[in-house]
Amino acid sequence: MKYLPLIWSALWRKPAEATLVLLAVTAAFTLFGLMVGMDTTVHQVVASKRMDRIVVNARQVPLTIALTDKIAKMDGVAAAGAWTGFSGYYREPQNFVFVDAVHESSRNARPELPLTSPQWDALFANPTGVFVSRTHARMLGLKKGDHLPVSVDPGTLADNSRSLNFEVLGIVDDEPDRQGMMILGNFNYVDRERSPDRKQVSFWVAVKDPAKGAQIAASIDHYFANSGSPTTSITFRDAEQNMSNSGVPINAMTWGVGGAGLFMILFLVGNAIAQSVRDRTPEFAVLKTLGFPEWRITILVLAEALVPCITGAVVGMALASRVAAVPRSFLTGTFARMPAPTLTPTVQGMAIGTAVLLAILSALVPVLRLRRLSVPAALARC
Amino acid sequence: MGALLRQCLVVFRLGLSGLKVRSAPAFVIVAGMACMVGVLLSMLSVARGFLRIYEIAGDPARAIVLSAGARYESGSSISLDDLKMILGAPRIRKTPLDALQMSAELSVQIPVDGFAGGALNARGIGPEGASLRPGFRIVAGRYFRPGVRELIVGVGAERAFHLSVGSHIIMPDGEWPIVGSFSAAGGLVESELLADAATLMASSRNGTFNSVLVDLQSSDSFDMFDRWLASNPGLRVKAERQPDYYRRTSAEDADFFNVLAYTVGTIMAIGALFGAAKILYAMVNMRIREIATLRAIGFAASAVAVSVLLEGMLLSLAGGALGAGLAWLAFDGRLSSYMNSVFHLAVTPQMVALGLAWAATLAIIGGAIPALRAGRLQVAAALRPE
Repeated sequence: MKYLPLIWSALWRKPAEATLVLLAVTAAFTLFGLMVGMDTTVHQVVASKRMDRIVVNARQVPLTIALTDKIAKMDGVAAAGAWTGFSGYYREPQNFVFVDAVHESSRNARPELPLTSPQWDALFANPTGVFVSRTHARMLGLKKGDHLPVSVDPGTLADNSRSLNFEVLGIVDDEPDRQGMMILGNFNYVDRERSPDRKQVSFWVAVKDPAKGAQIAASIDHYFANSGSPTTSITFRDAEQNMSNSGVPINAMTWGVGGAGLFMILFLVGNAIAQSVRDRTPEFAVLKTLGFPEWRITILVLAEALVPCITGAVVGMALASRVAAVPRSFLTGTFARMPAPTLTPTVQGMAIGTAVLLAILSALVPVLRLRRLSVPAALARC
Repeated sequence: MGALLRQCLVVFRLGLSGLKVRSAPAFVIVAGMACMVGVLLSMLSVARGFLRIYEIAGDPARAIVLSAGARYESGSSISLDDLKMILGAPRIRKTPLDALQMSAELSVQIPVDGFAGGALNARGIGPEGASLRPGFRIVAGRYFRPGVRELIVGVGAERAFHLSVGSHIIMPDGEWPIVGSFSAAGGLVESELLADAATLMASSRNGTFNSVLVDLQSSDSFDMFDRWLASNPGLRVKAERQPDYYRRTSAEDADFFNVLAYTVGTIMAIGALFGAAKILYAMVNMRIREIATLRAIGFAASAVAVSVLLEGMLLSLAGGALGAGLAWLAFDGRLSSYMNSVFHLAVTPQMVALGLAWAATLAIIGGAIPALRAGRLQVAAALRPE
């Protein structure tokens, strides 16, 4: 540790240049943090979805509520619940609203939904009632007791009116699903008000053994394949995986971009260290003359490389965290659609590890050159 | 002025010849700019390719008619009676054989196997529907027969969803075969399945069309067409120029890609900026004696400063060109899909110019301080032996 002053003076020999290197490394790691963080978020969202829940949709003709019992009696199924989706907008077209109108049977199929028992009761007692998740309520400016008229396209409703009215019965916790955009409504009401040729029913199925989720989904489809109403069933997790595969190829993009940023600074740091060592060759020659062992000289050079790399990684990740912490509600339109980066300890560890690797690679060639240093020749240059 | 310019060039050439010695730091700038421009262009190529399928398909002399208040085709419903009235509108183009160039259409979303949330669009078109798609031609198999439950698949959808002539698609009323595949100059219809509208309408339980695509006599005919529709008391429809409709419906997704690209690009640019500044600074330091000598023998400070900037610019542009070239090689033309649009990534000359402009700007900003340093050098102090 008595060599710290030596390392420090080496680093700050050229303060302007050292600062610029540090800033460049920080920028690269900020990008790395944001990119890898986004990828982690997407993976976490997929992993958070359940394997013991299946969604069943119609493949050709709309399904009917009568199928609930048939599905509930199938092998491995714990419960089946009906629901239908109803979408429109609230006030302005950009305030998209999607209501999950649930049937009583869904109470058993999805007990994990954030409704308390009295809330479930209230939902089925009040046909026009809805429960809105906290984030969605904040975005739309709704609170308990408000009216929620949902504007729809022509032909959606049986009476051809352009909006369907709901009452907000309460605000509930966000579900990890759907980034907090959830509205639960009453199936019977929506089904009744809907235009006859737009009726549709879907099902949620709770499965006893998560490991059998995909298998049971396939067997549901197989069962209904030759009936009048074939189905397409998939576990929540597989559905999420497919959804993320069909969008922007986040995986390839994030690692590609993060990698490109690091590649960019690899040369910069490598060049900076090489230059610094070259300039100080006489100094190293003196150290060798004084009897410094090879390994100690190697450590000195490595330390010189580690300081900017690790500092840049730490500050960069901190900056990425700050960016990630900007509340979703402040972000408008496009930014709100991007997955927020999650900087887990694994990601942070990855950054530090990469910084160390970067430092080692940068110090490699200069260290090797120093080993082959001809001391008299170097001293002659003094 | 002329003398100054000549001095600039001399110093610049001197700097260039010295680049061989300083090749390592020079390479760092080139690599840094290449990475920045490469990443920027590759990410922008997504939005560009995505928008292109709409641009190819859209024509200001064509209009899409939706029911009043509907924002998208999927939410619009136009009945047969509405259609009969629309046929009477002025300014619709006719072929020499007096066939009205218009197509009443409806779409059905077909779930793709194991693909909850993503779907193929099966579009029923009218008899003139194909002629309203620029560059439409059958590339394999044949066109579907009117009144028969048959489909044709666009080359984009064919590749992205692994379909081919002979595949069967599960439609609302059973399986329909794909009897042919078509291309349409890269327009958005290549991501779709096409069928006869009347047949599709009978098979899905839809009794109405989603939209009417109309080819007008000219781009100026739109206003008259629109006014006629609006003033017709029996009709509750709204016309929109095709390019406008496409722009409106693709804007959100395109914006998403572009914002992501520019955000990432900006952070890369900041890193490249600091890197370039550092290298240029170091390069000036390396040449300190050389620069001081030049100043001592009478070269103007500004000439020296400008030549440092020029050197930085040259290296940055070289890096930018390298990055653009790599992005073009790796990504241009690559097939990609987003939701149910299939498109090819596009690296265009305008994007390359943008990338080079970014590189040049960074060179100027990053080179400013080193250039000033070279210009403001204390000559005597720099020439003293260390």
